[in-house]
Amino acid sequence: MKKLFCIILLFWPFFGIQAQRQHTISGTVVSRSSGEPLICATVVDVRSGKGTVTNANGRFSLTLPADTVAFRVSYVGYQRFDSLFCLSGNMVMNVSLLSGVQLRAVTVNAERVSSAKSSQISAIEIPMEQIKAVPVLFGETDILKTLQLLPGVQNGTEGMNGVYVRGGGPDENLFLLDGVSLYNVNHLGGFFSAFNSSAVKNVTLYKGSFPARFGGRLSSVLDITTNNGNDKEFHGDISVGLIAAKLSVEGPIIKEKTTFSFSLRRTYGDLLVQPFLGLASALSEEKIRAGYYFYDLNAKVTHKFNDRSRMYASYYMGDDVVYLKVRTRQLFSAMDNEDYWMKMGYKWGNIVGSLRWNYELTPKLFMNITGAYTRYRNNISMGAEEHDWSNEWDSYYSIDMSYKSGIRDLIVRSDFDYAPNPDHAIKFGGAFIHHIFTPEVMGMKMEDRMTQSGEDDYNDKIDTVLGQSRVHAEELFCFVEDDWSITSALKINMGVYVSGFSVENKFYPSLQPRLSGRLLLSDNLSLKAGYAYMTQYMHLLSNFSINLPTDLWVPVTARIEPMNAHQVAAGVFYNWSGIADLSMEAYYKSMDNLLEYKDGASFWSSSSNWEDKVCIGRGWSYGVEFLAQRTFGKYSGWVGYTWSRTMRLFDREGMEINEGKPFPAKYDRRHDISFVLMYKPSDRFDASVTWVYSTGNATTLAMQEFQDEEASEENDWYNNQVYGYVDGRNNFRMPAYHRMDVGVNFHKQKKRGLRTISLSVYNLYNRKNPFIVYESGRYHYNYQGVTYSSSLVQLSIFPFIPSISYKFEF
Amino acid sequence: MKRNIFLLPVILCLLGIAVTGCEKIVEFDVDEVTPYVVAISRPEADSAVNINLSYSRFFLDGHPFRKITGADLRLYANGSQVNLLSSDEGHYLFDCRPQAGDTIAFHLYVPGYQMVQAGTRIPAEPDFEVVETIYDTFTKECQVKVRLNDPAGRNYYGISFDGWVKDEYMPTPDTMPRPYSMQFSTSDIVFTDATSIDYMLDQGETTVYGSYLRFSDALFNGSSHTMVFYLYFPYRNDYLLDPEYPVYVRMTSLSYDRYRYENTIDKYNEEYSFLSEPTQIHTNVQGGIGIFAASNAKKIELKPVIKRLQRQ
Repeated sequence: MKKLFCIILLFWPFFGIQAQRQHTISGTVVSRSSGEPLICATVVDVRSGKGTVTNANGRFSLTLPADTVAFRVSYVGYQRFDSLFCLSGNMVMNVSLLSGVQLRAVTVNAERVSSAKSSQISAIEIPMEQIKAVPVLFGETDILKTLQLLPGVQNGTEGMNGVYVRGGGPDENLFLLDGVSLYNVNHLGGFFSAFNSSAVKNVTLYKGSFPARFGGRLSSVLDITTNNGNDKEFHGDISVGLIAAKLSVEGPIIKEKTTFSFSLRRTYGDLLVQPFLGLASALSEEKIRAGYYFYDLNAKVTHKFNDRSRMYASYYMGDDVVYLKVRTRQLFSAMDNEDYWMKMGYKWGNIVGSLRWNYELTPKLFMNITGAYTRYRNNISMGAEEHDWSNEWDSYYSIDMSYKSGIRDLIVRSDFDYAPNPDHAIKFGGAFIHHIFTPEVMGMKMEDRMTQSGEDDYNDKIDTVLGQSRVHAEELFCFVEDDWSITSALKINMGVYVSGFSVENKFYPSLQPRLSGRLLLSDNLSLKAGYAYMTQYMHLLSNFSINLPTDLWVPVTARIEPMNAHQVAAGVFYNWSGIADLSMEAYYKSMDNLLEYKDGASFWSSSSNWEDKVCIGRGWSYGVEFLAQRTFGKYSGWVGYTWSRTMRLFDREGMEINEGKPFPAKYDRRHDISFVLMYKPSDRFDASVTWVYSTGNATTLAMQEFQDEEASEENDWYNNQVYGYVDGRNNFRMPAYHRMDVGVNFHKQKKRGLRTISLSVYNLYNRKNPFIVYESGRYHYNYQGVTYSSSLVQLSIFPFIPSISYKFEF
Repeated sequence: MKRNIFLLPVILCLLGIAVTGCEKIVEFDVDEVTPYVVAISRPEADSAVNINLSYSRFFLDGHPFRKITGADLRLYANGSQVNLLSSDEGHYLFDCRPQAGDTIAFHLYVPGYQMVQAGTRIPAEPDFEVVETIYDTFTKECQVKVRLNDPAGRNYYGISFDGWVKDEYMPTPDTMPRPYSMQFSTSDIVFTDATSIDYMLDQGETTVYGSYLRFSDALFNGSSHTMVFYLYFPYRNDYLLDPEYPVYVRMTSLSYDRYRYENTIDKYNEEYSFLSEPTQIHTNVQGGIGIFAASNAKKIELKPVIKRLQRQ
């Protein structure tokens, strides 16, 4: 019986293939102006109501009975394409849609796919136009900060990019850049994200009920697709903001065949500081060079061999760099001279390179073969040199110390899209990933030599490497999913993700079923539900809520088993007369094998024996999310509200936290509200305002102190010592967080392009939101003597930040 | 453009404000600043029970700790109330010398607070024997093999050693030899701070050091277990254990609460980093904080055998 069930399950998509003669229409939907493939464009036969959407490459396949077809292709912001023809055989239909800015208010209302009709639950797609319009810190458009404004997605600390989705940790999010995972998604300790908005075409966030093609993280998937490049003419933009400048160029290398897209962003604060440092150096004996900068570089080349075959080569590189060099040179006399150098450097960042071949095997079957390399590393180096000399002797001493850690992945992946008929959209594929972890390697080089009268007195050299060597791990997975329209009202997305992870001679297999469904109650109203089981094979060891170069990615080990999570979600979705999408979702997520640091444990000095510093436990999170979203028209934006609760329980013997009792997670927040309003009355002006409110973060504070006066045999050293008493992990709530940001953009069409001046204010009403809290003491002197008092102080950063940026698109 | 240039100082001023951090004093609720009743007591077998009572203080207050005097404190041994012998400055002494297996508990009534109570059971004396004691003439260390016969159920222990120490080079009659608490090392797996017992059983040895170590019987529950210790005097290289004098092995049976309390106290004192989570000290006092947990110690005196030892 079980075998029969398995066979039925395996072949369920093919049961729908009808005996009636059918033909397939396949092709690509692109933008007429740029040649960019349009993702999730709707392709439908209006007469039968059968339809599909384009995939990440803009490809579609629609199999219909041999009959007259009223073929329609539509996409948000583009003019609709209609064609009436008789389908008598397989055919290729490549459609290029005309961008219709002036038609947007009308066309879009009629054609956009409302979230009520999609079978996917807990997935949100934010148009790039909205992301670019939201006012953010220092006027720097930031994809992650915009996502933090969505219900179910929370930020960590003020100004930070830590993304916490439905009670999950910041390392439980899978960030995919053109399908390849990115490990470090932050710059400047988390104040800015690593995604340059100029290079990004599409952003989709999955918070739960993940399609089976995604895996490897517990809490969310952020799927980012970058621009392919315009295949007809050259375009680009230059922008200068308060802290960074950006340049983007795209165009054809061979017209309508080979395109390129290139984006570069770099902060320039360090360049502005150099003249001042130069002036300071000129006035003293010390020559100083110091600074900090980060940069991102995105490059992509796309080549179209023919209508069935395309090749994509994409590359991303982003680093944060801190440097300091000091040189002191003292020339006294022939008797004694000294030259001294000191240098320090921090560098951390990612490289992602991928080569993807997209091929249409048959009109119903598309294939993607991807080879990719992703690397995250952080290097810290410090060194000093000292050279003393005179006429008679020469002394030289140098020391260089380095700290390196990182992770490298080599990925081979294949994906297939198969559309046997309009009722099924099947995706299947698999991948092999070879992970190379370099948890912590410290190196030291030292040279000490002395020469007198031309002969070596001594010459000592040390060149050594300490720390762990590389840890190799292999990850394999395969998946199959089907978006199945059972009836016009009932649609499900079901699939399975099977994975295995091999490390330290231990193999962890995982079978992860996924299921989500939609029941359309009317054209505008649907019910959705979903379930997903996820497994994660790696952890991020981090000490603080900001991202530091010392954060380490480590794999599961023979002791530390993979994390896993079950999540169920259900919701109601309503498209309000084409005005806005309204939704209410409830979710429950249970997580197992979670890690928390033991009381007192720190990775600050070393991550060695990290397994001894963590406890293993479980957690659960539940909540309700409301979202009212409008993505088009003169007024757009959204209002989101989340009520949630996130708890942890660490009660395994020897690994108890909070006495083995449940406690709130650090980012457990009862209320989270976001309000985003964008107003675009004309093409020359747009304005936006955002307001966010959330319950304060939980932190652990020993609010009472007591004295243990009694000496015992074993702790007589500590007799009469005062102890801070913590009545529970994360027992103290920081004050609530709220702020308002506003921004305006002025556009002007110039002779050679479009000029945009953006003004924005972060934290308009100067709310002092807590960044950290700490105890501060003060001595008071008066005629009676000295008294001491202390208080708990919260430090706020970013009280009120105006910013301006200039952008020119050509 | 020329007019716009005058906006530059304004923009710079605003920028100056923007990058300036702001401090603000955090206010606390009344509940958060109200002190707890603190009860500290470590009853031992065949010793009078002594309970210390005080109030905790809010962590931002610097005033001395207030003792709880004249409290309505009642001690029960095996369910029967026992007499209070004396009370002075928060120290309450009872006419009670509990034996192994006895259950003792207290009820405390302090105006303005709910009833504070705690209970503990005096654990049985540890059943252990010293299998071998050898003084190594080469390493000047003393090797002690101790066999512990663990009864069924989860039990907790502590072990320490005392020895006589002499100055190797300049012994003086007025100072040497003297008894000291000895430092010791052991590679026994029961002392490893394991996050996974199954894993630790698979792995090799790790050496731990200390002058008093606690352990549980999780790895040898209900059976005999032999442990090997190497004693040395840690404070001065020229001070060595004098093998002519006896060595004392002191093993203590600890109640669970006592084990947890002392472990968390150790962790509190040893590990602290501004980035780490504060250590949560264990308490078993309901309605207040502190500890009321028993122990039962047994001490064995032994004479080392002097010989050359090949340490593995």
